Amino acid sequence: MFTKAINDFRGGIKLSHVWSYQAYHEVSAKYKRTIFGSLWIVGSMVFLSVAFAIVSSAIFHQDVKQILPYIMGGLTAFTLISFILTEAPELFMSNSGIISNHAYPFSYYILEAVLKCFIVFAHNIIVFEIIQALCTGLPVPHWSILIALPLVYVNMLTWGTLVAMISARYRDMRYLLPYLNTVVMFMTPLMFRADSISPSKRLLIDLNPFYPFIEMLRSPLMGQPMALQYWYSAAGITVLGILVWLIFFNAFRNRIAFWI
Amino acid sequence: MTNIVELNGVGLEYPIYSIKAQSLRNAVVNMAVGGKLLKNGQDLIFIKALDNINFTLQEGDRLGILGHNGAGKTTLLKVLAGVYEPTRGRISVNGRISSMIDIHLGVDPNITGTENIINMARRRGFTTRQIQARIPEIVEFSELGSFIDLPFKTYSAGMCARLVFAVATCFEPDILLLDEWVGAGDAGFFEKAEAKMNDILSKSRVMILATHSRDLVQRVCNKVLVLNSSNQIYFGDCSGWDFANQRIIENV
Repeated sequence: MFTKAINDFRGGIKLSHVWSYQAYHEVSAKYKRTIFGSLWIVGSMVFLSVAFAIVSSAIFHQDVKQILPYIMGGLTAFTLISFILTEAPELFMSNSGIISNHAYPFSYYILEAVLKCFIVFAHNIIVFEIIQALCTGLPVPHWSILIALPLVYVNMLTWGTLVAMISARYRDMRYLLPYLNTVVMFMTPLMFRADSISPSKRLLIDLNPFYPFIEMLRSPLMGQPMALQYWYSAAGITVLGILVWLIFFNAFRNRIAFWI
Repeated sequence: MTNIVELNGVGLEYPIYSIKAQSLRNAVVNMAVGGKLLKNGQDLIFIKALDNINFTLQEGDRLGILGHNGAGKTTLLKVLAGVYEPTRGRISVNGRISSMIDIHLGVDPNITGTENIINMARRRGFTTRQIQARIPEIVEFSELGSFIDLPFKTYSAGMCARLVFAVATCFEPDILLLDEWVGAGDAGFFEKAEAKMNDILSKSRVMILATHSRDLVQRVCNKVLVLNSSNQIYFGDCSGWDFANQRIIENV
């Protein structure tokens, strides 16, 4: 059962020396011949965080120093996870030249793209830690981040593949999903704190599938674990993702070459 | 002798999606009206690209695939390469496929020649160590000299072609797939490229070449597969096919 999907994934893993190099190469090549080099990778996250922090401190009457690490931690996590809505829809399309001529396992592309996101994430984390040290002092990250990272990774692979397939088949999705990303950014507690939402509107957060994954990275970075309730929903989403991936990737993998 | 490539009743149906079929709106509308619009809204045409292809190749076989435009030559190569999965039949390949259908894999105009060599070889699954050992050889063959350290985009068309050709042909092929004969560049380089192609041809265990050129097939191949509108007309030794009149020679 599901042998095609699993074999494809296994083939992708076997090419790890190719995609790990390729991911690094693409991140670094983008900023070649720029003066600030890899600083540009973190640029957008830093600028956005500072802007959010200034506005947010004005609205909620909070000290910028207090809220900046929170916002930056949230945006760092969000930048990583938003891969599913921003880059994944383009995944097969942007590799169409290779897909239609070379028999790479389809998992190759997602493995490469997700690794790229994690390289960018690693850059962002360093800046986040520096800013946090300057603003509030450096807390020891909670150990639960060691569970959170692999969990986020798996979800980016499964849901990312599914989004990439849907977007290749139905072209509207390519445009719809990046819009949705902006909506998610404003609906998720990034600029505001989750507990500032009144209990009657709590569902806005509890039903947001992105929230647990952002929180599970942000909380440990600030030295605390995530509430247990959200671990359950994250586990549910992960298992669902794996199942749906197994079914759809197994059944429609071989069509991808015709969709693009 | 063991069969290196074996195809049994391989068929491929190719869905062609029109713009309408790839629109989500039409899919949703179809659902809402219970499929009444199916014929207009779906616009999904299946093309039979290959039908019942059977052949086996052994060690040392050189197969030429002949056929008109759209007969299925390239599609068959892509099925052999594993780009498309056949919708019917079985295909078994014992060996490593070296596809030269698209030799430009891994070319990035913004990086230098050396980096491009590494990139292209990486994309073909080779490790850094394997590549590094080959770089002097590739530079020498491509006659790029010190240009190798300049960005690829500064190269002339001939230089690009020479470098791509040099990289694509530098690794020992096992089962070699060719979509038309690969040649490169100016007159001076052409002969060298010919010699190189003959060299990798002799090193490969099996070669499969899709082409329009009957002369070429007669020159380099021992087997021929003739396709006509996705059907297999003939497979066998070159001596069994009348190339001039395009028919099977009866009593051989």
